[in-house]
Amino acid sequence: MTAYILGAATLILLVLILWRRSSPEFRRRSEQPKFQILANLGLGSRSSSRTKQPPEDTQPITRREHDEKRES
Amino acid sequence: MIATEVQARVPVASKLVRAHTYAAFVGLLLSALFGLAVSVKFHVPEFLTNHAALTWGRLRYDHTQGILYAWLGNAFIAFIYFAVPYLTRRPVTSERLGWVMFFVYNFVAVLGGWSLVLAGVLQPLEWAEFPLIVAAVIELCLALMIVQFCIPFLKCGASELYVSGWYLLGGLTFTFLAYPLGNIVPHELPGAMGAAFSGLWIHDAVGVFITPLAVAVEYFVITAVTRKPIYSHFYSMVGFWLLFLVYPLNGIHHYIYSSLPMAAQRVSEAASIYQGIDVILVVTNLLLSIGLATEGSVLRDVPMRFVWTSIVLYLIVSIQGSVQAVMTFNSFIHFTDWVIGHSHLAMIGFASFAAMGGLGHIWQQMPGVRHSRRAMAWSYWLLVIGLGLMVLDLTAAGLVQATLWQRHIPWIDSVRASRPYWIFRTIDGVVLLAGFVVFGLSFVTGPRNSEGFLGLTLDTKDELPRDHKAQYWFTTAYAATFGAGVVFFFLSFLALGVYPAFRLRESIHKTTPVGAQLTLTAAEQHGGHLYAVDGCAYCHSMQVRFTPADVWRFGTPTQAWETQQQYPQMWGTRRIGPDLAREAGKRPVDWQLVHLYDPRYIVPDSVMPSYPWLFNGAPDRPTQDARDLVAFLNTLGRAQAALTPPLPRATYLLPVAASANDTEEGRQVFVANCAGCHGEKADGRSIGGQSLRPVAFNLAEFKLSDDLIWRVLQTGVPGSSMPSWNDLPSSDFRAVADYVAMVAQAGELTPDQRYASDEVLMESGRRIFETHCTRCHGEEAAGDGPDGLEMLPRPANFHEMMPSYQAAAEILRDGVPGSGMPAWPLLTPAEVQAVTFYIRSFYSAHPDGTAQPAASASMKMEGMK
Repeated sequence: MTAYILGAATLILLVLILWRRSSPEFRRRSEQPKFQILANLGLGSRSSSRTKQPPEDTQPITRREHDEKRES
Repeated sequence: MIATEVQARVPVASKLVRAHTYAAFVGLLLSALFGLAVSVKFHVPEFLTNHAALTWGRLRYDHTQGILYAWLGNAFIAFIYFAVPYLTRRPVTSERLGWVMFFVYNFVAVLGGWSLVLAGVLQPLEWAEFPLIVAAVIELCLALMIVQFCIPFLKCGASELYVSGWYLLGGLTFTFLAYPLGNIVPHELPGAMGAAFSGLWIHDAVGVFITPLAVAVEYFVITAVTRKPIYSHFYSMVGFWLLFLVYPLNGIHHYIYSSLPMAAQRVSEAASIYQGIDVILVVTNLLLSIGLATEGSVLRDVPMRFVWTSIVLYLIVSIQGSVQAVMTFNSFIHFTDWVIGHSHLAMIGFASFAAMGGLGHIWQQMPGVRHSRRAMAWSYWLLVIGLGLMVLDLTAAGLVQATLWQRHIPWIDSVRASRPYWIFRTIDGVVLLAGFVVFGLSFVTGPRNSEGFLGLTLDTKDELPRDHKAQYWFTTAYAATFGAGVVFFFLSFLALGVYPAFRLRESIHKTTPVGAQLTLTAAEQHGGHLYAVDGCAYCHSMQVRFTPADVWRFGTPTQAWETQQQYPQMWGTRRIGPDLAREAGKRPVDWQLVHLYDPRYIVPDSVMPSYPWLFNGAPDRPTQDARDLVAFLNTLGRAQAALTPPLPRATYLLPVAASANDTEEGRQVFVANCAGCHGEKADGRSIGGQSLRPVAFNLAEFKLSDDLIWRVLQTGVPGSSMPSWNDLPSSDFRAVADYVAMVAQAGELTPDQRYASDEVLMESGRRIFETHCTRCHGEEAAGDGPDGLEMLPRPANFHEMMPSYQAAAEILRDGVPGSGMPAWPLLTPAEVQAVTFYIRSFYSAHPDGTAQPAASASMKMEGMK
């Protein structure tokens, strides 16, 4: 039974990984939340009034910049 | 719902964040103090020993429960209050509900639980020690947390939900489901069946409560501090689902080589290895998120440093856990301090460092509070050093203990060898405690943050999320996978809980011997309750595993049918003292009582706590509680013992000859193992020895044959407290036998001490002996008289022992309490001397080299009655 459970989980995982590699739309949707949280934290397109500013050596990054960086 | 003056503002409930943060610090310091006291007791067993509330077991219960609920629970709740508005763009459900939850959680569950445990109201279940009433309150709090924190998630679009939100949802929901398994089910299912469910909760407490919330903090703080997206949200979600699939399947790996079905044990072993693979994926994603975004520069941020350390230690502790679950390695390392090192690495290195990173990050944002970066940086290094030393120390101790347990040496040798490590552990604990204190100080010292609004300010009202209906949420793909997660949980419930229970029920039905004495009397049940209340199961496991080392040392492995009356099971996961599953009949009641009153009376190097409140001031004045507790100990393995003969044990050949070179070594072995009862002078006059029944033997006043010494050391003395010392290494065995032969003396009378000539003493002694002694000692003084055949211990065989005149006189005057030997107060001194002279004549190894001739009836009897 262990083999079935873990084998099925591994199979599903492989299918998802292959699907993600072949589908830009799936890739975009699966990565969407990490940009949303930046926006919610006021580090993306939306503003925030968190009382203390983040360290100067780190700058907010937009999704486009991030994608460009990953592509390069 | 929290009212907002400006529609586009979503505030953090900062007062609740502060309240839970302060509560977490109080919980941390008290829990650490409990832990430190427990640690000190290992090398100062009499520390805080006069009150039941402060005994080792109860402090140990409060230490772990405090870390779980008072410290980590509060810390993670504080973080959730902070994170939920950022994750959902919605406030938590109700601030008023939050305050109700805060008071119920801290003042009823935590404070109530701690107090009840100290008062002896508890349950002996690992990670579930708070009593059932408190467990019910905690379950209520978990339900309230779901209402408070999950409703905002339900109202926000699931497709935008960041991985931290998933971990929070998963952690809260799954803990709510898993909690009753470890707290309630073991009361309904006995022994092995209950152990299967206990194992589930032991791991779920860490796996579905602590771990998801700690990883949620890590993902949140990383993206907030780096101000950049994580490396891969897709892989973060893969890690999330694998965690909830695999972690609950680990549970039974705490009971490998037990009587639980082997298939379930194999499941837990395979799942544990798979879990390690999942953690590699999660940690790689986390570390890449930090490294890619900032090339490490963010580690100047102290909370981020805590988070980074937590991630690295998460990897180490998870790989360690996977290795520990491999059956061959588990047979070696289980029950040792290695596992304690592992748990400290998990709960401090991984979980607490994550919580500290989260709280530190929150405090940087919190308006109007003091915050000292320098103090927090100091605390980081104190904690890293303290934890590193503690884990290395306990890991080394575990390896030493495991190695010694594989060898055929007395158990107490592993305790002696552990003592330096335990002392060092206390020192490490002080460093850790200092780190905790400084960390707390960093929250109340330093410059004050500026006042302001804490929360989200959205540009327009349009950016507020729509109130999605629940049906909509449940139709999303994420909802489907969330449902799958719940299925995962029930999968583990079926695979490691229900399946073993059914298999065990069937097995127990088939294998329970006819007439097996399994039910306990009311007194024995009460003794079992006391055993649970004082935490005996946390030092003495109650399961002999199917491993060669266990079988050699403790006997027949524990069968499932033997446990069918154990409500709840107390198998234990640690051995500081020996396993007690085969304790029935192993020790006399008086030995057990003296050992309970003060273990060091008869085992000088023991670290077991004393239980003086079970006695009326002396070991021979036990209360009914003490008697009940000993009665319970004598039920452990009773049914099995009645059915099967003891396993054959190794025997040693007789020594060639005593060697003077062995004297010092023999003395050391004697002092280490025998002096507790027999006294350092071997005269049987130690406090412990005099409290036993029969009292400890006066070795210094008897000449003993080599054969007798050898036999008693090998087999013990049935009916007395003298155990077998067969597990001594052969060199020690030989040395102590030689030493006893050397110290055992029975001097001769000087001429002026004699009442009569040898002939008269002999004849007079014979007549006295034949009149009073032969019915027990036999006509030939071989201890085989008709009345002595049923006695335990057996009457003395004077062919192999010869008392001194002084020892014989004392015995004849007082008798031997606890044996069949009565006092003979009416014998005159001359008669005592005569009968002693007579019985000494039988000693086959008499100084003259031959047995004395039998006296003739014609000899005169001067001075005799």
